[in-house]
Amino acid sequence: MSRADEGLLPRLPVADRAQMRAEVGRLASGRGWSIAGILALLLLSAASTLVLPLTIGWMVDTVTTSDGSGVPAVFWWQLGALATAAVVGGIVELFGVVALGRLVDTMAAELRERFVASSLDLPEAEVERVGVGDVVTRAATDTRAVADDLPGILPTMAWAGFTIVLVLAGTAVIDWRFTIAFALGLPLYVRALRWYLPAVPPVYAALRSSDSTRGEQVLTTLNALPTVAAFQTGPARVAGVQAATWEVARWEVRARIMQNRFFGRINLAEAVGLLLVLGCGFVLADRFGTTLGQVTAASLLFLQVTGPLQALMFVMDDLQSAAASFARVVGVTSSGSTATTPASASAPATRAVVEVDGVGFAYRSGHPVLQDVSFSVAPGEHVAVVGSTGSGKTTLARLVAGVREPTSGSIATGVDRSRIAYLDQASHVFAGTLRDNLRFAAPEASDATLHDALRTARADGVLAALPEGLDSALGDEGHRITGADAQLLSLARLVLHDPDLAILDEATAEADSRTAGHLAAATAQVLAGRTAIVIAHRLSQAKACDRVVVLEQGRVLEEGSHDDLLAAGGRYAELWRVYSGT
Amino acid sequence: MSGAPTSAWNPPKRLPVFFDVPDTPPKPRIAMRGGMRPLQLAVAVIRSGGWLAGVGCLLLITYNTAFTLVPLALGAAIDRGIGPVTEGAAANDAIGTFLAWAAVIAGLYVVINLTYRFGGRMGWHCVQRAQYELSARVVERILDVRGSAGPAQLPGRLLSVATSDASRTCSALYFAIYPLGSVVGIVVATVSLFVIHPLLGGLVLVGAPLLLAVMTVASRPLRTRAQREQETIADASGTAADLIAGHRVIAGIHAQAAASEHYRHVSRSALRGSLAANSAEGALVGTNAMLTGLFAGLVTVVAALLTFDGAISVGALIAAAGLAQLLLQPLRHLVEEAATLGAVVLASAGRVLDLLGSEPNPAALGTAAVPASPRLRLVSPHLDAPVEVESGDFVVIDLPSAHADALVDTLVLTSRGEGDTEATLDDRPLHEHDPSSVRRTILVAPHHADLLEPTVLANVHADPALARAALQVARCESLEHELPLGYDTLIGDAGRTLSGGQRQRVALARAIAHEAPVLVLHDPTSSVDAVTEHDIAARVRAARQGSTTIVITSSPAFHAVADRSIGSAHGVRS
Repeated sequence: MSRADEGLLPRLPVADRAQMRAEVGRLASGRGWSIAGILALLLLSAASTLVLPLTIGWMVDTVTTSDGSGVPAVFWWQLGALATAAVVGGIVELFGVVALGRLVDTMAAELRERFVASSLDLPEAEVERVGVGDVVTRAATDTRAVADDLPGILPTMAWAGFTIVLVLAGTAVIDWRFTIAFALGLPLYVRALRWYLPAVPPVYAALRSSDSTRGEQVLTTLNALPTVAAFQTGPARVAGVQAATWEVARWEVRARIMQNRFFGRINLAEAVGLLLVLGCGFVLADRFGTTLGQVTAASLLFLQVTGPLQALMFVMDDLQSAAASFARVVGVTSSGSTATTPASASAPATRAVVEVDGVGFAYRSGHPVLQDVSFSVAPGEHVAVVGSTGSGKTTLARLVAGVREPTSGSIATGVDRSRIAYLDQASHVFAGTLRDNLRFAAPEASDATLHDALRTARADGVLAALPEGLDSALGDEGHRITGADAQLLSLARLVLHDPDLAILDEATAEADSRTAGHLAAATAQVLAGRTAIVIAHRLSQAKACDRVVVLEQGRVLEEGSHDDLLAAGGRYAELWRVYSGT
Repeated sequence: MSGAPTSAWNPPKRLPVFFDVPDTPPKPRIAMRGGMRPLQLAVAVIRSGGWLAGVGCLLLITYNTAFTLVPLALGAAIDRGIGPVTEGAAANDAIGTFLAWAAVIAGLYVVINLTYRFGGRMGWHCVQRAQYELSARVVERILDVRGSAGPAQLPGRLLSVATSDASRTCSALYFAIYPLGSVVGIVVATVSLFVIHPLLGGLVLVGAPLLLAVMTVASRPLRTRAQREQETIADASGTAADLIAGHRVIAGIHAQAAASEHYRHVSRSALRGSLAANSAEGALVGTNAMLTGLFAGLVTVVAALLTFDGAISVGALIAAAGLAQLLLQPLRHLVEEAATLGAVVLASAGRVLDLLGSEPNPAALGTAAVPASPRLRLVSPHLDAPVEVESGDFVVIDLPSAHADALVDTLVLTSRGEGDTEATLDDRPLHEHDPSSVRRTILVAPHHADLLEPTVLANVHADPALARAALQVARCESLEHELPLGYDTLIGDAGRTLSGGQRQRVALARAIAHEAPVLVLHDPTSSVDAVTEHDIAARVRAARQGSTTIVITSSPAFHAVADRSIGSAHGVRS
């Protein structure tokens, strides 16, 4: 979790090897037999590719020993071997590719789903810190990279590995001295890998990072199109995105240059290997009477093995780049499980629903936002928190909701944290049907329940205005609804969630004078019979609550009912005077 | 700008890096026209490769030729270099010929090494250059002042067109650089076989096109499936982006499980698409492997029969067998890549063209110049009479939200032309004016406060003095003390570390700092408490002295300071 690259933008964690191994194990578990079956198919496929060079060598010997009197009978066997190898190899490759593709695609989909689940489980504070763009880029680019690359890498590795082992065995059958010639070429391959494997990951990392930066820039811009248009910052945004895009292009080419150098080294190894085998053949033919067919078979076997060897070498590189993506995906899936529920806060159940005791909070030390705040909320009670800008209202709401932890003092809740709903002013309408939008709060809810919830939240008017009812598509591509209507849908979701404690943080901020009354009535109806904390900047909301807590510069200034506070003639009375214009 | 540490790049110390990418982006090279078809775009992308792609292609042709000649040299080395030895010749007599052929093989490998390294690099350079340009064009089009007709698209979807689709379209360059080399390789092999024996050459000449035809037919189902698969995958990433963007709302009602279940449905339907494409791909690869294997066997068998007859030498048999074996690779690549890549390139090119060619919004096609100090008239079906706004006015209008949105849409020239909301400048409809100069004159600050820059100050204005003054107007001075580094604090992606009220005030400061001749604010203080709102209204009124300001809001604070207050029932509070 430690960030080595200080000074750069904060990023989500990247998984280490142990976490990646655990993830692979989790994905593979229960699939042992499929994996074994696929490996067997690939082994058969590798074996079939050896038939061609061996049979040609065999033919060469048949030809050199034949006396020119027509075709010997053994030739028809050789012909049969070639045909069988081609047909069997093709069929086996078909089934191997399909089976492996299905397996890896399914695993990639599972991973992608777990990634989204874990991203949603990330603590709010963490998402704020790293930016949504980083998470979205990982969802879009890295999960896709894993899904695209792994189905190619895994069979190649298995198939190439099998082919190499079988070829070595094959040469040993011809003459063990050829195997030694083969082996003498290997150090050059090892040398190429030893240069490549440490040198290339930083380049790939830089490539991914520049890609992520670019994705963030593009997405931020696309999400803020009205602002970009209004302030005519389009050209500046385009210039920024283009600079980031060019950075991606540069790293792409650099990564390719690294691959080119790697190819050069592999190519050298191949040339030396082939010349070694030929030289060995010359000496063996001279000293040990090795036949021309055997030399041919050994040379063709070597040519046959260069393909798999090269594939294996280059898969190492794909494997590394897929591993980089995989690590970024697993970094989220494995951090999600540890970070979902913050510690503490479930102190012994008190009779109060919430007991805030001497709470202090600072986003950065030395800049306290809240100091020594204490108050409690009894079951069924509605408490309003009032204060001017910067008084710490929202911070307090987020502490009670469990989004952040207090730096001092304690917050005890008499209900389970999952029974606390927190509604803030951001009312996101999801791309999907109205039903999808509501069912996030209650996946099993029937249409009748959804209708009831809409009625309670006074959102039946929203429903009536949509042509296809619950099936109407919402979001940027569907029907556009007003901010106030989106707030009503949020309230309907709150009804469906049916929390024991509802925290409304300026949830009616979107209202104008005409809809404010409607929204206030909807809020009252939704909160009836529930315990609630209402962060209010319209004092009419405060008036409707049982008790008012007045915050000023992070401290509780006054506390009491609306009427008591008016009578006391303090800060609240002053605020009310300004607000009501009296 | 770059998140990538440059220390990752360690070029060789003693050698120059050939064909590295320049530090600055290149000039546009893709010749775009209106009404292009996907294939034409692909061709334009290929042409943008220029001499770099040409030389790269030439190098790869050389590479393929050298690669094909290796088995011929190998056959000669075995037959003429080692053959005599197996027949009892003295090693000393044979070694000369053997070494000569070994040197030829070594020479071929040197050529292979150099041509592939630089040919591939040059091709990749072209692809990256084209990708950069196409992606830039897409982003430019999305941000065009003329907007686009039709429903708005999801940001995730636009992202996918600007990045993935632009890059896939540029894979078209592969067709120009790589297959030609493969074709030349095949031709060299065929000619070599002809030289060995006309029958072998004829076999390839007849067999190879036949083989290609069969493989092309086998690949047809994949083409349609590849397209479908891509579309479902685009949906899955769009949904992921949307859900993660709504993270706060989901977390607030503990709906993480339900939201990921929703995503699972989308992801599974994308998976069904890839699995279908996978089966097709398996069939293609398997059929190709079988056909090419059988073909290589056939060539070898014919060559062997010819050797039995004494028509060709043993070296020729080895060369023929090797050639037949090597012939398979370029042939298979040619067909497999043409099938998958071709479909993918055209599908992506289609999406890129759809976006680039999307009609501009009819409301943003005006050309008339905006007069120096125009008289603005606003008409809304909700208002009894049109609102005449004179230069220097501070007008506050209260409208129900649907009418307010319609008025804002009209003013920012994104109206879809519904309803009776109108805006005119000196009696000429607003949409007949040039959109850029309209926006220079009339700044409509969006109600949704999107902050794009990394710090508070940078979001407001490039001039710090101007920015500070505007922040004062929007009552942001407390941020100076609340944030660790004051106005220079990094405020996270889209200002997410700020509260809604803080974001709204910073956005208001930005609108003030812009000093537009006409400023339109839409509910600028809806997330601000009543006391602060009163301060802000008074300060905005003072700051806009002498300039035209229209505030669309129900807030009594603004109505109280207005020159003219329209549509508000004064004194009555919600």
